[in-house]
Amino acid sequence: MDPGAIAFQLIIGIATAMLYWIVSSGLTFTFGVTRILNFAHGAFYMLGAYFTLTFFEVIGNYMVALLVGSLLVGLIGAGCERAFISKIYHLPVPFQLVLTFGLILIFEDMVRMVWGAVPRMMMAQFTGSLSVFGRTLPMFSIYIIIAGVLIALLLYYVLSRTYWGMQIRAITADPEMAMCCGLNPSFLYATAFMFGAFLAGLGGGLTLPISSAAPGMGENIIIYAFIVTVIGGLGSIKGAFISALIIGIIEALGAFFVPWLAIALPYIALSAVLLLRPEGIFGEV
Amino acid sequence: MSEGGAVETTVETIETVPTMEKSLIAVIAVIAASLLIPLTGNKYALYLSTKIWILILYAIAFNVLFGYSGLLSFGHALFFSGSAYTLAILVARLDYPLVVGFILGIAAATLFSAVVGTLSLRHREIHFAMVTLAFSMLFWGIVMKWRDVTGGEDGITGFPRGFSMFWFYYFTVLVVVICSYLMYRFVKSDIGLILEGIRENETRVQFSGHSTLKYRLYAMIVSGTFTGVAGVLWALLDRTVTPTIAHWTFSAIPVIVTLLGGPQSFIGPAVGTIVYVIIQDLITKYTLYWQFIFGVAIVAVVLFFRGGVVGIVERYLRGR
Repeated sequence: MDPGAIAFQLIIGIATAMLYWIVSSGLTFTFGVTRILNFAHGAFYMLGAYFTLTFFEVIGNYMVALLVGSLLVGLIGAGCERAFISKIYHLPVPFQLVLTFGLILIFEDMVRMVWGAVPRMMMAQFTGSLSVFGRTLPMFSIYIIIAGVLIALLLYYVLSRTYWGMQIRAITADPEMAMCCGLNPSFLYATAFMFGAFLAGLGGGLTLPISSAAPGMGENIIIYAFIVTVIGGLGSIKGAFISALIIGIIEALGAFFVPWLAIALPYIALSAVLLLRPEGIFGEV
Repeated sequence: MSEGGAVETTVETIETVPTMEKSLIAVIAVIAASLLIPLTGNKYALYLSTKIWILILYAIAFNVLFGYSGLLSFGHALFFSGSAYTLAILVARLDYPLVVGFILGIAAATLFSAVVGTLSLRHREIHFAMVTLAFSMLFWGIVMKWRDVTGGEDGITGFPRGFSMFWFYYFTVLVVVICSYLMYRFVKSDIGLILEGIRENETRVQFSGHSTLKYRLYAMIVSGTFTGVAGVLWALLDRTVTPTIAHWTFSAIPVIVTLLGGPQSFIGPAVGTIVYVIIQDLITKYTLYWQFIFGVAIVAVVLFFRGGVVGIVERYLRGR
């Protein structure tokens, strides 16, 4: 077995993992704060891709388009929280899941109305490639790894070094006590949702260089995000990072060693973790 | 379309009989009315109503687990597609007779539900939903990749239906009615009562000396097996199986129609199915964007009408 090939697959796997991480981080963050498992996270991901695409066509700068697009998704996320999600915190889980599923249907059709049903490609970005271990590694893989690490640092900074992050941690740990200390739960839940949607939007915008924006794109990524968050432990950000790495690397190495099994590997990993450790790697309860 | 109307009018006109008998009469009236559909000679209505009947069985079977046992499965597509694919593989690939495929298809669903149940029933709520989702998507992955056997994305075609569309409709109605009756007997049996007890307060049921895990497994197997019946009927109706029925979005259908119709009553999922298919069919005639309208309907049901359609009708009847 060629060690160069394995190392190369590892890099590819880490790049995939970073994409899973970016999407899952928002999902697990929102869940940690609000205890809502948000199917519509996939819709925010899709909106992020479309907004970035459109802003890029107008502005011409990918980085700016990405940021503006994701911020807009964040605002839509906050709007959704105020209009719908805030009404269902007290309901049983099935109702919560189904409402957010309904939001997916709504957003997907809105995207079809505005941008059409045909997948849209962005003008080429990050087209270069590197030669690694005698193989061609697309530049995009490097960028997505950098983006993933930056987002991890951003989350760490926001949650541990800012006042808002401190409030978020307080209301996550003990909502009642936090409210007794005068924290405003409506504000915190809405902004937490906004932040989660922003991260989903970033994920959607970041995939544009390698895949086109299409109405169904959210449905597929949300399952991976679920798998990653459940393996890592629902609500655990550290867990999401680790489990995204596990899933990405397993997938990439699986595609190399056991290609016929590759598509099933994430599900096998999920089943195994849930059977051995139902609460996930870093889960509580 | 006549079915949706029949439910309401029948329920409204008979006022003096107690509710139970009222809904029984309504159900019989709807079944009787639906038996006339093939006689109209409208091929499209025939196809659509066959589909509705199969989805009704799917939804009722799902609700045995959800409504009566309080377990939300997001992986019922596994049992549905598992039986459909078993039939297709046995008949189209291995040349077994259709009857063998039909029976072994259902048996496969029983087996799958027993295995998945054993592995997943330790979990609750979101985790149970996620484990069932994972197993069903695992099956989807296998179906997509194992092209030699499952045909991958193209699916499997080339097996007979065994009936003309006309007689297949009556066969479907017969099977769905019998299966629904059996499930009704199940949820009204002592086991069903214990299941409801577990749903309401698991610890108390454990204190009275029952193994809650065992009863949950019963519910899972009953639910999975009858979902399998719906699966083989579906395969026969289209004479095709494709990976669509194994994907998780297909698991979402019974969840949605059950909440739409009302999970608290036995016929709620059936009512929800009729509403679902008809809304979908009507809207697609006028606009491409049926998902949008459907999404709005789902959101409205969750926010304002959590008893579903059955809940609305009941409230309306009580109000008079």
